[in-house]
Amino acid sequence: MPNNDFEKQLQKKMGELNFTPSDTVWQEVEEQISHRKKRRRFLLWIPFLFLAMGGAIWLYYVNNGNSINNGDTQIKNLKQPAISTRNPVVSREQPMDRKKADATATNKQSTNGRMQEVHKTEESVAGNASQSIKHRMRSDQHIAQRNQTAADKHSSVTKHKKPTSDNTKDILIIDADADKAPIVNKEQRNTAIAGDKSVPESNSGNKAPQRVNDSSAVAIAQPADKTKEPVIEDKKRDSSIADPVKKTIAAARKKVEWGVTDNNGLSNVSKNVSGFLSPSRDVYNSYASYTALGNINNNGAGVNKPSPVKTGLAFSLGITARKALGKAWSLFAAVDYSYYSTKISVGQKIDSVSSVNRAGLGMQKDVSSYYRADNSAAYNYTNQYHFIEIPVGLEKQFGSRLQFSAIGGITLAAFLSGNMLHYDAQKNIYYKDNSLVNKTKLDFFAGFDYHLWQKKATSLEIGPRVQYSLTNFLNRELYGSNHLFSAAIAARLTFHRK
Amino acid sequence: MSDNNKLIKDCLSGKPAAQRSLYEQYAPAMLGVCYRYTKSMKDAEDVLQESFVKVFRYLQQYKGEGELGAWIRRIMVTTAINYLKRNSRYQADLSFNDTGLHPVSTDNPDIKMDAKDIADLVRQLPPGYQTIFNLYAIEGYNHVEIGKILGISEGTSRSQYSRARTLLISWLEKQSITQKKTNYAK
Repeated sequence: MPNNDFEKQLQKKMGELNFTPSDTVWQEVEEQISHRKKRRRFLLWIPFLFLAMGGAIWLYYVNNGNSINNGDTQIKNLKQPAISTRNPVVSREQPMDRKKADATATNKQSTNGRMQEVHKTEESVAGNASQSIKHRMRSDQHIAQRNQTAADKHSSVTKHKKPTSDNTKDILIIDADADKAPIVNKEQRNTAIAGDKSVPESNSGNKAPQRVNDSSAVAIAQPADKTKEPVIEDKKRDSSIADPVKKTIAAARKKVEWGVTDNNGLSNVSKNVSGFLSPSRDVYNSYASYTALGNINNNGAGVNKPSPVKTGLAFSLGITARKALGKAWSLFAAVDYSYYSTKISVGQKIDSVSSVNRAGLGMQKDVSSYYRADNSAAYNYTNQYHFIEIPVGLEKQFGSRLQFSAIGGITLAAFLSGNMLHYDAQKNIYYKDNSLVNKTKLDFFAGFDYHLWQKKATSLEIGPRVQYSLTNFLNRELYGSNHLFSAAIAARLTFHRK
Repeated sequence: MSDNNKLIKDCLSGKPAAQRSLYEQYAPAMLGVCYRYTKSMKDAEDVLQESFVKVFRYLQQYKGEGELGAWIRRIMVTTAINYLKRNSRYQADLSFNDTGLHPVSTDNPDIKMDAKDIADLVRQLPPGYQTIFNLYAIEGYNHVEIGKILGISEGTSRSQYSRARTLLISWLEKQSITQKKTNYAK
């Protein structure tokens, strides 16, 4: 091939090769383009669906947190039917018997609005079924109002991490040898080959694939060990694609990228991880062993038994910043508002001052109200914890298109507020005392993410997360070793700078 | 170029008329490219369709620094090769296990056939030869690049191209002789 005339003629001839495609080709193309747009629009709603779901579940939990299970009838209360006493020292505990409860409620009807509502509701349950429904609807309206108020109190803020790249996915450019003389025409100079799913980058548009001038060769010998050439394999193809893609993605996210996060899941407080999944008494038992002064043993056996602690809803919202450290590594930090909860069963609420025993702390404490812990009652109570958290961690992206990532790090959290009930085994009651919740905690978290729309201005990452408090969540002197554990599905929107 | 810029901008904003216009402008030539890499017009149209979906999907990556036609053509070639790789009809013949010595033909015959006839001759080559011949002789890639694209050695690419070239030239010469005889008979 001294002058490559044959190839030049071929190139010229092939440039003239034109065919008219059938109409079905465009119809298929058009359908796929429009379908992709619709799907993209749908995907944009996913984070908001997560938020809505999280909010709905939270409202549901809050709504059922103080519900009464009374025989076959469940009555939702805005507040527990409480017995107020004018005597600040001597409490008048409400009997569990419904008739007595009704009588008590009736007696307090004129002075206690809440009691009026309870009385009316219970009346309707005992009497007319249709009246019951009517009152229940009314009660639900109140609940909705209360939930709205509660939701307003909980200002949402942040959660953590990770960005991705833009305009980078699926790009593969094969550079031509610069020192070889090009022998292709202009259009062909603009050609290059991309791998599977790849698209040529416009910047390389003028880069010409250039031919090795091998016309002087008479024969081509192959190395003996290469007599068997491989069939084209996807693995090889992928490996040729992976590096340029990773490089371009990494290059595109050198700047600090911002995003918003939303985690929705479950949480529990337990001595170890196993207590997360199954209802456990172990946390309360530890406390009970102190407060009961030997009246109860560590296995929960004894005169009084505390409620099992069930998993509750957990979610967090936040903003995050992420900085790439290399091709696949990133450092991220976030500021989150986090909500955790656990669920227990309690008895009637008593609005009365009482001294509770905190033997482990060597002192007693007066509380203005408490909950009975007898097993005849069946209120579902939600222990709620509100935190501001600052997670800091590392992220490692992997996969042929860096579409997966593993993350891990630590979270420093500050306790904002809560309503956790603590158990006094001596008196067999529950009472609120936020001072027994540690004000700060240090957590470990880990998870995986799948990245969507990495090339777009806004990318989405979704994946599971687990978080475990390394420090004790509750006062260790009273509760012994205890940890907050949560598992969630995390969604994060990252905004990429163009 | 300004017309093309407007066309691209309209395509990016999702205007169906602009997308149709872009397709109609480039589809005939691009179908010619796809035709050279495949064995049937149906396969060529499948590649064309798949490629144009990619074109519209990744159009925002085109910054206007090269010719749009060249950019689209690269997508066509890439898609065609991947189509051959994953299509069972081509996979068996797309193995490059022939690495024996083969002399490189120095013939440079004049090509007097029309484009479609030449393309049909190229399509009669075994798929492995056909792909390497297209990439080297028509797209202008060198053997190092072809080796990377197809996952084969540079030497294999050279050998396969040499065989393909020799075969094609012999077919062209036969066609030429046949044509001369026909003309003489007339």
